[in-house]
Amino acid sequence: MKPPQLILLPLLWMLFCATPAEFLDHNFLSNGDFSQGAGNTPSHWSTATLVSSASSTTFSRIRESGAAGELVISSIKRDTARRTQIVVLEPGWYRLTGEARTEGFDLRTRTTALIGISDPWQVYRWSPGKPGTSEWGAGRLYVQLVTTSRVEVVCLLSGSGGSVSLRHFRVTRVAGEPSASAQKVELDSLSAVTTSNRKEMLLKNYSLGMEHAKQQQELRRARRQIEERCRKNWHFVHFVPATGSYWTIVLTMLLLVAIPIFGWRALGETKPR
Amino acid sequence: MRSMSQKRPTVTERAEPDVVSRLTRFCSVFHRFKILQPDASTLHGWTSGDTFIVCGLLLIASATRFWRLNHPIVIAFDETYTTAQAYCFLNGLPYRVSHPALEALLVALSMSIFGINNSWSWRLPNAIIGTALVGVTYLLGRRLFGSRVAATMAALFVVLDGLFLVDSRLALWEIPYLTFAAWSYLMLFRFAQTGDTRSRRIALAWMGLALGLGLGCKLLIPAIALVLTLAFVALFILQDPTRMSDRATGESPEAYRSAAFARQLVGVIALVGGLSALVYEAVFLPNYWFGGWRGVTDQLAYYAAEFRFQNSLVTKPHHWASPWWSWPLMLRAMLYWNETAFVAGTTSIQTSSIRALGNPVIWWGVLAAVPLMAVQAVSRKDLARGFVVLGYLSYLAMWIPVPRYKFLYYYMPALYFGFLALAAELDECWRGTAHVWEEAALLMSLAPAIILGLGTRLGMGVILALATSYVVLRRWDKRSAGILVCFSFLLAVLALFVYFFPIWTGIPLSPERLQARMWLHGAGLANWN
Repeated sequence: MKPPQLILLPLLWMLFCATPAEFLDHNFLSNGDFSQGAGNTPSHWSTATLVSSASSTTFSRIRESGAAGELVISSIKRDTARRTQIVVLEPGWYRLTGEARTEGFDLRTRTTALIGISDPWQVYRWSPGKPGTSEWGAGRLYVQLVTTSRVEVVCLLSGSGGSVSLRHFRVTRVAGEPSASAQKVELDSLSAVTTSNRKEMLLKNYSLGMEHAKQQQELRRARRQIEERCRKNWHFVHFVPATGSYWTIVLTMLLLVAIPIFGWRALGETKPR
Repeated sequence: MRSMSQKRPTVTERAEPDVVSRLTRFCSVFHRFKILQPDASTLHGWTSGDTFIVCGLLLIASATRFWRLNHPIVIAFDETYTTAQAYCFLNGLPYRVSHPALEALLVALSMSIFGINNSWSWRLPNAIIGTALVGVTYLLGRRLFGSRVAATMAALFVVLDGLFLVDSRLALWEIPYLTFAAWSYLMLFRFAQTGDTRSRRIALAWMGLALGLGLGCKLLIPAIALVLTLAFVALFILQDPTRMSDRATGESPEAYRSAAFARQLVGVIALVGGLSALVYEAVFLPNYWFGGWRGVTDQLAYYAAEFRFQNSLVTKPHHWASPWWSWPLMLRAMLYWNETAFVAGTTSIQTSSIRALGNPVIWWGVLAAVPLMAVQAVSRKDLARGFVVLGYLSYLAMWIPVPRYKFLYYYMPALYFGFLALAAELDECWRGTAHVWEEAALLMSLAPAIILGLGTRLGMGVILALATSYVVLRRWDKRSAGILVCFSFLLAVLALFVYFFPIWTGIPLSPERLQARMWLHGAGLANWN
């Protein structure tokens, strides 16, 4: 091999290595740092509330000059409010990251803030910050797509009051499956948004009954939940050492068999002794 | 002068007449109460009409209990405990939770047959038991009140109440213990209304079995059923202690009555108490078998730990908690499961939810029916009615001294007695034997639901129309007025069942429709949201 070709090889190697890294670092969200927009309305983000008439819910954007913006949803009455953006993603693993904080939460009313992705059935999310404090907390959620899909990314506030703030929101691709301990979601083709009208899809799903694939996914989740709880309790049980003797339960059972037999016989006697 | 042939009475014999006379004086008030005898009943044996009614009720009940039973296919509310416990048992692991394990054993049985990967399988036992409760209620109502109308209405209330429906469709603890308690009440009155010694013993054995199964389902609450049934068995025996025995000759009646009472009481406690304790203990055997416990001391340690745990809940607040006095008013509903689906690019949202919320017409009707039944129990000296009232009060009163946070579904066993009371009161209306003030009280109990459902203006109009129709009919024909009350009630119950059905079964609703069903949405306790 000639010397120029020898020099080219490392360069090609570097290019090969660099491209996926750049690609992996690409934020698929438009205006994920909330820097663009007019006033309280960030570009590329839409809003929705559960209680249509709620005037007590406000959507705002805080941005200091030269810095990234901050998305805020606040509510003083019971409502569910969300900021959303739909992104089209190729099959593969993705990571949602961001920093969020909550303020003014009444823990008794179970106000929740969720950041993640929603499908027609639920919101896969992480809960931001530490409840009851206003500290910023970083969150991370891994999502796997099996087909090219329109995915709805959401920042949601649900409850009776308080506010949620979100900044540095990113959806980036990851090279492989994340570690087992990572919070991850597997979205099949049904879960992701494949039609422009999700309401139609929702009603269709209900009229036809739950789709098999969706059921399987939910059941897997349920089973994992059952197994997890069983395992936790199993450990709990075994932290409490059993100290009794087996013969005590044998004797107890024998006694409990004898007592009703005595009662049966006592009631059957025709006259008192 | 005492003859030589007369035997000198022993200390025991001398004491016996005193005991009996004291007991007789103490219970003289109950002696005047009457038990419904088979002969006195208006019903003469089981007819094809009964079979037809029971089959119809079971058909409706199974349709409501089994329809889309697998929805939601995720674990809802406290199913997390019952399913995990069942899963542990299937894998040969012990599992300790606050409540005894019968419900989990039933779930495990179902899972072992139909598989774990099916939400339908872990809900099947409760759906079956919840359907059976309807049949048991018909039998109980028929036996208590001697009326097919009362029995049918009581069973219908079980079918059409939201809380009973919801808990029959999820793998929770309430429905099994309620069904076993209802079975024990049925056996209690079978015992009371049967003269044959063997039949009475069999009734008691069934009662012990049912009570044991009930105790094996839920911590402590079913103990009220045990105390209540044993107290009433004692009362029935006291009314006629010699009923199960042939009177021996040569003994004084007082001595004989006293000995018969004591022997039968001991026998009943041994048979019913012993059998229920045996069944209750058997429920815990998986914990011994799988090595979680080794002896009875471990079980005692579990009670001690549970006592500490329950005490630790005293100071903790809970979002869905409600005080006992608020339950009859149904001020605080509970959310068992909720899922909101957003529609992309629009503001349309649909929410599916399962809420522990009763049928308001039945619940608020019970509030009127129980006091009416209490008055009737005293004025008519009717022990069956007294049992219903005492049952209702006992299950409610047991929560007064309990300091921990409490939930609406704790009211279910009291409510069950309320169903019986309401059914009996409506039966009185149907027969035309109810007083004006009784019918008026029942009609008035409809008013809150009418106003909250239809709005103040329209609601007041409907109430006025109903009241006018009642007054006109009452002047014309007493029975027709009673039938109007009955029909109005049943129509309202049915309408609200249809109206609230989506939020009992997780059918998706738009936010507007969901909010319209949240009749109470105050900032404080009175909140169904």
